[in-house]
Amino acid sequence: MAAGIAVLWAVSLLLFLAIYVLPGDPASRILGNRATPEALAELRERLGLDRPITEQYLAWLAGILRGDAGASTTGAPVWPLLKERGLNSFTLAATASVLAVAIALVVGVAGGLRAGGPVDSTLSVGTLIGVSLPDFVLAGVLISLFAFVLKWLPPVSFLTAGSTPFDRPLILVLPAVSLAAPAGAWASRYVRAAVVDMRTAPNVEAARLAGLRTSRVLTRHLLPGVVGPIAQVLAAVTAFLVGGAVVVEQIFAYPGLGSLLAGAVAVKDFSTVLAAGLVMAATVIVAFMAADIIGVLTNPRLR
Amino acid sequence: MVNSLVGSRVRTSTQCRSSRLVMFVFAVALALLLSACTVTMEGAAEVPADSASEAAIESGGRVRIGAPSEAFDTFNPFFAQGLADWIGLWGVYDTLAWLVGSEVQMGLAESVTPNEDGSEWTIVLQEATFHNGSPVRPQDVVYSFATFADPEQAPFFAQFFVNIDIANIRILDEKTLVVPLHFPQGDFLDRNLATISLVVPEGTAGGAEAVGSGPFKLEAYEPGKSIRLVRNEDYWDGPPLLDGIEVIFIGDANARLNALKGGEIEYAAGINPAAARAEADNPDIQILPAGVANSTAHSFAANTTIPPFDNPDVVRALKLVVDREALVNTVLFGFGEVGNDVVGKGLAGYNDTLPQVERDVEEARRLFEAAGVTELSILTGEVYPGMVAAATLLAQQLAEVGVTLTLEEIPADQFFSDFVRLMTTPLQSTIHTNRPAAVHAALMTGSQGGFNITAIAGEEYDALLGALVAEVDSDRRLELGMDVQEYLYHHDGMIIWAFQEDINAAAPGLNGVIYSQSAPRFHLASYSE
Repeated sequence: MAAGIAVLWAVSLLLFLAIYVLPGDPASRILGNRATPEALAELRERLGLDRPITEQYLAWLAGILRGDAGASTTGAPVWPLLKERGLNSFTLAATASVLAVAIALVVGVAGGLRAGGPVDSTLSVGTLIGVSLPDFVLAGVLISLFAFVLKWLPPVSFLTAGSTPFDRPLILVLPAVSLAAPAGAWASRYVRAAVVDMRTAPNVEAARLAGLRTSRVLTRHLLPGVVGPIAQVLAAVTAFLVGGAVVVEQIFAYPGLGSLLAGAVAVKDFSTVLAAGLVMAATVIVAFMAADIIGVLTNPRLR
Repeated sequence: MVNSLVGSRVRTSTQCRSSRLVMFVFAVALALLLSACTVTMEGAAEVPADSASEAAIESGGRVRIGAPSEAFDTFNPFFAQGLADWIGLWGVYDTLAWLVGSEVQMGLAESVTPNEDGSEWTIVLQEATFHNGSPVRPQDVVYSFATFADPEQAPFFAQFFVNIDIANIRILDEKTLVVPLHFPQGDFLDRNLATISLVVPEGTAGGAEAVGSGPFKLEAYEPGKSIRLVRNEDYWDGPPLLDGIEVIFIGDANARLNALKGGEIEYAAGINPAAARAEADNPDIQILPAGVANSTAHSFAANTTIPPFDNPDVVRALKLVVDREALVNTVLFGFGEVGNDVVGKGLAGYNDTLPQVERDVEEARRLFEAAGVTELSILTGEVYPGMVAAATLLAQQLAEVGVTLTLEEIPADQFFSDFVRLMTTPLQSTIHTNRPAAVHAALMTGSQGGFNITAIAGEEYDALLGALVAEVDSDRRLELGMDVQEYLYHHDGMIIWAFQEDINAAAPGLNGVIYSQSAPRFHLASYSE
């Protein structure tokens, strides 16, 4: 826990420094082509951008600790929008995670149980393609096929005032698949390796020799053994999804944290970039911490 | 044109057909559209009316509009930046006057009349009420002016109210007010009121509970999602045909087109030229090039006070070497018209008697050689799609006459941030919204020009421009505008090589959309699936 907080603090520092060295500033952005030196200086002073970087960082950090993420360049508070966008992204990421886990387990276990066989080889090629395919390419293919050719699903995933993703769950399908397919394909390779290892583990061998049915060997003896390593992989999948969300949410016009972050970076909205970046970093850190805990709980030697 | 398409709904009796008509796209809308949108819209154009479907439609229909937005817009008319917010704001609020192409249409103002020298303007309001039932009063106008004039509250628009002597506005009765100006201005209606004159109830500033007097009422507003408007049945000029509109925030131009193709929206505000070309034969959507009146002027700007462009022959050589046709076809995918070095093509007051500048490689080579120019550099950045590509193509065209052009490319977000650099750069790529020539000249050129990057000024030109700005008589202003353009054509270093049309797209059954100042307006639109 302490390590997680330390990492989060380090991330906040890095984020702040990264934004600080970005070319341009919010004052230039706001003033546009009216940005005379005098007007810029005045606005920078008003926004606190003329203060030393340490002072700016500490003021921002103090605000975050108080639950105040500051205001955007338009003066609107960041938190309310961040909360809603965060929930939208969580819904999408959760859907994508379920899909990614399903893909990883089905493909990984199927390949691992038949390691070296034609099924394994076919799945390996498939997962390699899945890993190699950029999410925006996959999204384009999915939109063309399922929205324009088959007309089964909407090509965009926007929300209207007062609505949530649960009002129209079909909008989640294409972005979730776009996110989950590469992540699931990537994770399936680790699942496969863990399954191959566990196949020769003494308890699995013993269960098999005792004549237990394959399904029982799988669920009772093999899968519990791979949960620990898989949890680590799934934590990495979370990082994968968080990163991919920035692109995929843009493509599908889905109002999540990723599209918010992309928009905020484009307009140099520092408060929003910092807060959204921090939330995303915290998500990844929590996922890895959870994976560590699961690893300990499922491995008697670490318990 | 408008009347023929939308019939009696447009108030011809209240139109002010001034000869020098002013449009303006405020700086933030420009900045937004430069960075987030692939097109800008200004002036007027319409979705072509389908006469058969129009005849069948009396009212009804709900239109969903995909438009780019700023994530933190707050539906505040004094501060709004995103196009989506402005589409909604033009529906909820009325303006005293507004622009349809080059024509000023009167809105909440029944009449706007100057005194003899243009130092005082009398505004008479329509009998109108806000959505909450309270009447629109002169006090609301004064409050709106005062708020727009405050740089703290309206940083993007204050410059357009700076000439109003707000403290001395006189309210004559419940419909009439007299607005004094700090200095006489003949084009106050065209350049200022028709540009930005939203009237909000005194003490308000929009937001999720915004109340205006416009053709639509705000039903729901959620940043990052949508703005939902419903028909104002009590609109003073008669309710709109549509039951309502919903402006949905879709930042990516391809996503907007996908949404339209997938039937998720009926109108996409701004699509990519390449996509427009690819979808040209798709019967399920209308591709709507908005015409040259609704375009962005692309230019190479040479500062006439900095060597080598302080030599008029070098400026002339540069004008002659530019292959404008090639730039339009290559950089703009053909969605544009060749420019002739003055802004305002397709709009009233444009001087189309000036001969088109034609490419003359031999003469350009001779002039460059005579001036000893073999190397040039250009400051450029992808502020607007195609700017860097245009500079790259210019380098190839200059190479044909033995001049090496070096591109100095800077990030788009820094392009306008260093004012001193902009004013001291010998040659740079730039863009302008296509506004009437007289307005452009008043805003951008001369000693008082706010963004005079070619440094075109001097006693003779300032006198010419000063006479234009102060002239109250519209016919005389038209003549003076022609003279100003001719001067710019011969002496300015602004090489306007093309006007890039805005491109929008709509579902086949949508008719009657009018463009004004970068935003489509839907109060005269109808839709039938």
